[in-house]
Amino acid sequence: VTTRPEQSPPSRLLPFYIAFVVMLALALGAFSWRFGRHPDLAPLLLLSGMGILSFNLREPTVTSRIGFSFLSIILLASGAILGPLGAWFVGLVSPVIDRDPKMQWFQTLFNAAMTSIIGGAGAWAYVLSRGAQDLNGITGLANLTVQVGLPLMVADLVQCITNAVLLSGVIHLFQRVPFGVFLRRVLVSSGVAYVGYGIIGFLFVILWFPAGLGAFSAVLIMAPLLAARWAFIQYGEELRSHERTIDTLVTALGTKEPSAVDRSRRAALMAEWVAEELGLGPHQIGTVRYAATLHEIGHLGVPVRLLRRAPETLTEAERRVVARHCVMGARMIEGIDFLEDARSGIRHQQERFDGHGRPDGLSGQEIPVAARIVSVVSAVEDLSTTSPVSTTVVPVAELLRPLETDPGRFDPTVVTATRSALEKHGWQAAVTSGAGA
Amino acid sequence: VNSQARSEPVAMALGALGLVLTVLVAARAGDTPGWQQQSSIGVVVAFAITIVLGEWFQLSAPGFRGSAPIATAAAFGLAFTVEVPQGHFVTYAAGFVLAATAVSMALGAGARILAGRDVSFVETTGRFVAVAVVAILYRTVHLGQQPGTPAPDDGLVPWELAVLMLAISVVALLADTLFTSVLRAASARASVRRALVEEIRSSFALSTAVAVTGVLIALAAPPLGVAALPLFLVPLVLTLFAFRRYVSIRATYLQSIRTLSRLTDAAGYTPAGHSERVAALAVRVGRELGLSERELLDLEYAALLHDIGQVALVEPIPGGATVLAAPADQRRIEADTVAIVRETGVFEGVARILEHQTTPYRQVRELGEEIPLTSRIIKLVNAYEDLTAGARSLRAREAAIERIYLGLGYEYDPRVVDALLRALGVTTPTG
Repeated sequence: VTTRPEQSPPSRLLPFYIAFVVMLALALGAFSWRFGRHPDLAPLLLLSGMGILSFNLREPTVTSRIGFSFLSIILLASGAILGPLGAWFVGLVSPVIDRDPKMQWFQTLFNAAMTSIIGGAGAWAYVLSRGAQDLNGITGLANLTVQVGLPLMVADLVQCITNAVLLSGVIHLFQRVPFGVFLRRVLVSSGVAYVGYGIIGFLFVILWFPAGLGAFSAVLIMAPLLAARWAFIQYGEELRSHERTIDTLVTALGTKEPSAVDRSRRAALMAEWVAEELGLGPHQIGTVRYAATLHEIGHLGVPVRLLRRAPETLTEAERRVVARHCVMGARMIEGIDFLEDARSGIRHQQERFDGHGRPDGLSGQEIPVAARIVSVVSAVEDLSTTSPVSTTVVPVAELLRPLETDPGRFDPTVVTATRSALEKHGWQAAVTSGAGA
Repeated sequence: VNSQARSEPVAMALGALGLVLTVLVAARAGDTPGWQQQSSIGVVVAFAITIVLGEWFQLSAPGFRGSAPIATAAAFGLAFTVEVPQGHFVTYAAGFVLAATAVSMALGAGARILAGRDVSFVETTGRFVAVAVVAILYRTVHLGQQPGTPAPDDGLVPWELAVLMLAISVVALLADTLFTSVLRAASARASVRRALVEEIRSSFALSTAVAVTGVLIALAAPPLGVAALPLFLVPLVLTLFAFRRYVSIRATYLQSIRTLSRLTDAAGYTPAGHSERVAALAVRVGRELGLSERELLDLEYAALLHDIGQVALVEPIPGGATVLAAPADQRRIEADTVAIVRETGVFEGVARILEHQTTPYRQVRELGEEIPLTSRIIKLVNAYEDLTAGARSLRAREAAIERIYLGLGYEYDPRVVDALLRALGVTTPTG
C-alpha cells in the first residue's frame, strides 16, 4: 500500500515526519547489516527486479488515497529467502524507479523509506519467530508450517501494521485526515487482503527451496501474483465504479443546471470532513459523501424555469415543487444497490432536528446522520454564496453564526463538528475547492 | 439460444462416452491403486473431492465464458502429480486419472442438475478433453508409465519439468478451446475461426492462472504431499472472490444505466418505459442481423441511454419523440447524451454507438461515412417507438412503418428496416 496525495495544505510537521521515517529506515538498514545475514547477490537482484516491477504495476488511487501493489508479497518472501538486510534492500530500491511522472522526490523518498522499513521489520519478525534460515531440505507439511509458514504469517501481520501506521502518519500530516480514521480505513479496506495474499509469499518460498525450483520459481509465482493483482484491481474498480456512477449522475444534472456540479463537489468535500470529525466509520463516511454529492439530483425533475429563478421570486406553490426535489431525487436513484443507504440521506435533508420538517417530520436521531450532515452542509454552502466576504480575517465561528438563529433546525453536534472541521481545513479551501478538483 | 440447444446433447453424449470409456479402460488394464497403497488413495480422494466441489462452484457471468477454475486446476494437478513426500510414488496411470476425473466431474454436474442449477455440457466436456490431453501427453507419452505401476524417473530437474508441464498445459487448454468452439460453431453455422478467437480472448487470463496452479500443485507435491492442493488453490479461490466483485461491478454499471435511462421518464421528458421498449426491440433487431453477444450488450445499453441528453432541454419535446424534433435539436441532444455516457469512463463502445444515432443513412451511401450498424439500429427503432408512441395496435404499427418507408434508404438502412419487420413478425411491406 502506497500513497498518492491530493492537493491540500500539509502540516508544518510533515518534513520532520519524513525525516524521522528516513532516519528510521537508515537505522534499520545499519542494524540489519550488523546483526542480520547477508544475502547472495543473484537472488537479491532477482527479487529487487520483481519488487521494482510490482511497484510499477501497482494500481494507484483505489480510493482517492490508497493504492495497492503486490510488493508486500515480494517483501514477505524476501524476508525468508534473503534475510533482513536483503528484504530491507528490496524495499528500498523498489519505489525508486517509478514511471509515474507526478511523483515528487519527497514522495519517492518517503515511499522508499517506508517500504524498506516494512521489508526489514517483516524479516526481523520472521527471524524472531524462529523462521528457518536454511530452507533447503525441509519437507512435510508439519515442518514447513512450523518452520516457515507460521513465522511468515507473523511477519505478514507486522508488515501490515507497520505499513498502516506509517501511511496513516503521513496522510494525517499531509491531508489533515485524523490518524485513527485513516488507520481504520486502511486496515478495513486492505488489511484482510494484505494478510490473505501473504500466503503467496509462503508458496513462493516453498517453490524456491523445498520444491527445488530456485530462481525459476519467480517465473511461476508470477501467475498467482498477477491473479492477486487482478483481484486488487477489482477492489479498486468496485470503488471506481461507484465514483463513476456518481460522476455520471452529476454530469447529467450539470447538463441541466451547470452550477450544480461545483456545488455538489463542495458539499461532498465538506460533508466528508464533517463525517471524519464526527468519527464515523469508513462505510458511513462513504454514505455521507454520496448523499452530499447527490443531494440536488432531484433538480433533474424540477422544471428548468423554476431552477433559474431566484428563490425569493417563487410563489409558495412553486417553492413546494422545488422542495419536493429531495423526495424525487431519492426515488430517482432507487435500484442502485450501493446508493441504498445514501437515499435516505437525500430524502430527509430538509427534516428539522425538532421534528417540524419535511417530508416525514422525523426528529433528532431518527433523522439519518447523512441527512443531518447534508442539511448543515448545504446551509453553509448557501451562506458562502450569499455572503462572499473576504474570510481570512473573520473567524469561522462568526461566519457560521446564521446557522444558530434557528435553534430547532440543525443537529447541534453536527454544527459543532462543522465548525471545527472548517477551522481545521480552512473556510477558503471549502469555498474554492471543487472548481479545479 | 438455439445453437446452444443443438450443441448441448452432442456434448453430453461425448462426455458420457468419455466417462464410460475411461472407466472401462482403467478397469480392464488393472490400473487401480490397491487398498494397501494409502498414499495413492489419499491423493486421489483429495483431488476427486476438490474436483466435485470445483464443478459445483462454477463461474458464470454475462459476456464471460463459463468455467470451473478450481475443478480444472485440481484435475490438472491430479494428472501431473506422480510423487509425494518421502520418495513415495503414486501407482496409477493415465487411465485411472481420467476415470477418477470423469466420475468426479459427473458427480459435480449431477449435483448441480439435481439442485436445479445450470450445467453446460459443452464446457464440462471441454474441460475433460483438456485433462485427457494432459494425462495422456504427460503420463503415457512423456513418462511412458504402465498401468498400476509407479512412474519411471524422467531425469528432468525441477525447472525443466515445470517448463514441460506448462507446455503440455497450453496444448491442453487449446484442445479444450478448439473442442468447444467447433461444437458451438457447427451448431450455429458460424465460422470456427471467429468462435475460436472469441473463446481465447474471453478466457485467456483465467485459463493461464488455472493451468499454472495445476502445475504448481504437482511441483509442490513432493515436499508438501497432498497439502499442496489446498495451499496452492488459495490464490485461485481468492481470485474467485474477486470475480464475484467483478460481477457486482458489472451489476452496478447496469443499475446505473437503468437509473439513467429512467431519469428522463422521471423528469417527464419521455413517456414512461420508452427506453426499455427501444432496448428490447433493438436487441431483437440486432439478433436478426446476427450481432455477437458483446455487440448486443452494447446495443442494449446504448438503447437504454439514447435519450438521456434530453434532461438538458428547457421544455420537454411533446411526447419525448426525438424523431419529431428539428435535426439541429436532435444533434444537440445526441451530443449531450454522448457526453454523459462518456463520463462513465467504461462505456466507450456505447458512446460510439450513440454518437451516430441521428446520422441519416444517406451519409453512408453518398459520403461513405462509417456509421456502426448498431447506431443505425437505434436510429430506426427509436423512430419506430416514437411513431407508435408505445401503442401496440396494428394500425399504429402500420402507420409507423409507412412513415419509416418514406425515409427508406435516405434516413434508414433498408437492411435494418427488413430486420425490424422480421423482428415484428411483419412479412410483407405494407406501404
